[in-house]
Amino acid sequence: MSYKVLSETEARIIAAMAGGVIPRAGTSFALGAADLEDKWLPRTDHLLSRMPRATRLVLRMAALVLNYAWPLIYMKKLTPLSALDEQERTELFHIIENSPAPGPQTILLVKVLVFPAFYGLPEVKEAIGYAEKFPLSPDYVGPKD
Amino acid sequence: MIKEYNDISNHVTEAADICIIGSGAGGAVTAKELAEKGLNVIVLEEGSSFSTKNFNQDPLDMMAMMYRDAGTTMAYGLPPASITLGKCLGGTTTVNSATCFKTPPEVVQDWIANHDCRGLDYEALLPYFERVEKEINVTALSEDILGNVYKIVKRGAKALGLSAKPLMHNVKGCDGAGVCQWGCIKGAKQSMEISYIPKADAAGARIYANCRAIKIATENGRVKGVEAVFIDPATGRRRWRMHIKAKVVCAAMGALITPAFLLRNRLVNTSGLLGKGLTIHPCGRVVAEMDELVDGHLGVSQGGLIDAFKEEGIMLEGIFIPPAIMAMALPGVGEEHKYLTKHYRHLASFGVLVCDTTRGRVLPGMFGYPYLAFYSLNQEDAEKLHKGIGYTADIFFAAGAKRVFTGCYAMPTLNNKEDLKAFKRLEVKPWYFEVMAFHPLGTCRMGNDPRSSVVDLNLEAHDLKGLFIPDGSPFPTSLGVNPQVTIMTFATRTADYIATNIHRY
Repeated sequence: MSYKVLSETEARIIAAMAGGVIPRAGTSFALGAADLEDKWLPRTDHLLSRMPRATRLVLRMAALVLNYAWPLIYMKKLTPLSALDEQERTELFHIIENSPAPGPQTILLVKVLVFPAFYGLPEVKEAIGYAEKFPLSPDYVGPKD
Repeated sequence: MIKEYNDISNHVTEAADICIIGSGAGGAVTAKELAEKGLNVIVLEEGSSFSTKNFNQDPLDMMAMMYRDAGTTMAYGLPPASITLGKCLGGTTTVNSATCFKTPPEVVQDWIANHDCRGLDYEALLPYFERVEKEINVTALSEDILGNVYKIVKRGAKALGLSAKPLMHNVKGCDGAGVCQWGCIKGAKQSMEISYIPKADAAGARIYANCRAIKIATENGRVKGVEAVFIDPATGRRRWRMHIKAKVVCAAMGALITPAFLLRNRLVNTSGLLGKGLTIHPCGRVVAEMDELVDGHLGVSQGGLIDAFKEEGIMLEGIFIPPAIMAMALPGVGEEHKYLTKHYRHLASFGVLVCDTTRGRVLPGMFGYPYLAFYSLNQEDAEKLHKGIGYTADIFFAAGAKRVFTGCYAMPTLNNKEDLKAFKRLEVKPWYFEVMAFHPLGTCRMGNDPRSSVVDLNLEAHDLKGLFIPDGSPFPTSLGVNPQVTIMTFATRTADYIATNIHRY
């Protein structure tokens, strides 16, 4: 899949991070980030495309660096996060979240890049039982630039 | 006449009595008031014009469409603070929570007594407040529309001997869609593009969207006009130029962009205070998991307030947001995270707003940013935030919360009242908190003495005749409450002054 601003590598890293935070299956709801990657990643890409170039660059660089830094610092592993399996990634995020500052703060990167895109999908809203109070305006045509 | 980028096919030259840069709470009000007095007005707005035709309740789409930098604007410091701003016709009023307060009288008294604002008179402001509140229909909503979070907080507060009050909102026919910050799909919120801008338009103001001011032209210590460019909203590229000859210029881009713009133009800074004194109302968000079904999204996003701690510089104000954004305020990863989002309908949340003593600074932007803001929360404000979170957790536990999430990295989850006691005993540091901030103010402060202020009490720059700053920048201190009515009130007053004195320019 091609994106407006993300490279394939960056998309793969962000998808891997998302899978660690929102893994598949479990008792709450079955959907995981990996199940709907082709739907939420383009949304993340769109959001990034509307950010200033410098912000975009910082976020993309942070993803690339943290892909190696997180496993190295918190698991003493040289393996990049994107090469860990989903359960290991979730464990890694558990460790980071329970570590002293600035560990937990760095997870905000994943939240910013993933949550608005993932939790805005109709399938996910249905899975968590969320529905907006009102339908769209009768004159709704769609977002514009 | 509202023109956007697609309506322009060549360079534009215009002449007007007044050119207003920005169409938010300050700019739109100034434009309407002056146009209705028969003056020739031009408004420049960098963002596009949106309506219910474009609002789809999806935070991501709406942030990408209407928020400056897609919602990533922030002040750098420890901790960094996210400050979201609107970039659209109507400015931040299009994406705010529709909460209205008059300026607290004690704040104006403090400005008069301690901040060189002798000559301001609260009584004289009252007719302006009334005018503004009538225009934007400030009203009290029923408890059903205020939503269940308000009812829960009211219950918890009552158990502790406190009282929760409904907030006032600028709405007409609000049904509590709960998406105020993402564009009101009912068109109920009386933000500027619904209230003041159509009236400015009807009175003959010429409004240009997708138009970014670049330079204020001056001659012999007076403003002469504005140079601007039209920006293609799809690509961000500059295309057509605009040259406006004007007797008066109002810089109403908000307290972050106005000083950065003026600094870049090397204007009005003989006091050395331009861009200094930034206040931002640092906020915390406290989320509670309840046994009962809350469905907080079925009411307005900001329903009530508790002002019992006002003397301590702490206000507790409602805030409820869709799951796509709420998820960011919750701790946990993996199944723990999924459990909380699955229980979204059982969550209640409330905000803690700190009347800050910290002061930040705005500098001209670089790397494509219109400004750079620096703000590091001081220890006093961090302790206020800590206290406010503790008070809110008290209220939620008194209302029957199972767990409370604090937004404090040192102790993100409180499972019971014992945890809350431990939380209150924590020795906190500013960087322990995830800080969101709103209401930037104070970067072009007003006062009588040109050596210690940027604008006078009519909001005209001391250093440049004909330049007015009718936005949030002139207020010398934090207000402690949402500022849109204050900004509109001072803008109305300034418009009256300009209209009366236009012959002098």
